[in-house]
Amino acid sequence: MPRNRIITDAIGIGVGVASYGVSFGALGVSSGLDVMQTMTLSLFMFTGASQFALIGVIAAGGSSFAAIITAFFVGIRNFAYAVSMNDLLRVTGLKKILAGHLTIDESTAMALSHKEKGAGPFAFWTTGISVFVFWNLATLLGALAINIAGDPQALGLDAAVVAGFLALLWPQLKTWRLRFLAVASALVALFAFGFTPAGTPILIAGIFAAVVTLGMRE
Amino acid sequence: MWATILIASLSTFTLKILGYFLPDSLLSHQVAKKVIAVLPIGLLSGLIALQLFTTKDAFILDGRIVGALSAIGLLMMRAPFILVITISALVTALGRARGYWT
Repeated sequence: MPRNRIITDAIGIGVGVASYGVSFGALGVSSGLDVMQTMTLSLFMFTGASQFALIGVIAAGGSSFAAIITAFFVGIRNFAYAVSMNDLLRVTGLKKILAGHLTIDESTAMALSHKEKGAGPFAFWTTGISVFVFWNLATLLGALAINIAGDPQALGLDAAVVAGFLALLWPQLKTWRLRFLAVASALVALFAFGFTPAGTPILIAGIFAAVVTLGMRE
Repeated sequence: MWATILIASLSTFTLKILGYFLPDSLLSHQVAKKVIAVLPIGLLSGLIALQLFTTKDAFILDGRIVGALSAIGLLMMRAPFILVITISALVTALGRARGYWT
């Protein structure tokens, strides 16, 4: 089993994620959270897209309810990951809880890419732990740095959030149908923005995407 | 704020844990599969549109659009994540400093 190779890859992924973690720390604080609250999200929510979604809705002036529901729906893919990781890891008891917490895009992808006997679980744990450590250190760094650096707008951080979301969305748009769906959902959100409370346009876009997809024939 | 953070964290944590305790038969259902695949696409697209074109209560067009276009260009060239974010922030910030856009 290529253990050394897996460890090197896991650290590499951790370092990559750290860059994103620094932006999350900085944006968390500039969205009105304090350092402790921003850190709590990275430690306990520990799923980047949901964390960004939550502070995005809060920064837009959305209600707590809208923020929570958006974070939840964005994180729903982790549920699908968990089902397949449960099948692979076969853990019990407390380890199940720990595995659950470390079930994210990166650990799942690494586990699934190692088909050699026994390598999948090893890749899952190494990547999960590596990302957890780097993500949290980076969040702390970003949250503390922005307190010193000041105006997030002058640093272009508001554009960086949009870029981050685009980078998350991009690989998911594999077919033309999905690309059209993304553009249509964006338009629906902008349309809803005119007459619904803050935060809800995002949920309406999500529901729109689901309903349209279920309504279409293969 | 604390309540929002704790409830949201608990709810996303529950999603992950639930997958380890529920039978796979639930997920293999065709409707569940489709919804799980497209829900994030709809939500992220909505989020991007709002972050790009609106402020708290009005529509707006500012330097963020330039940042977003640079990001899309870099993504098309398959640039790594860190580069996409850094360049997008840099372009927006430089233009703001020079007064090209707000």
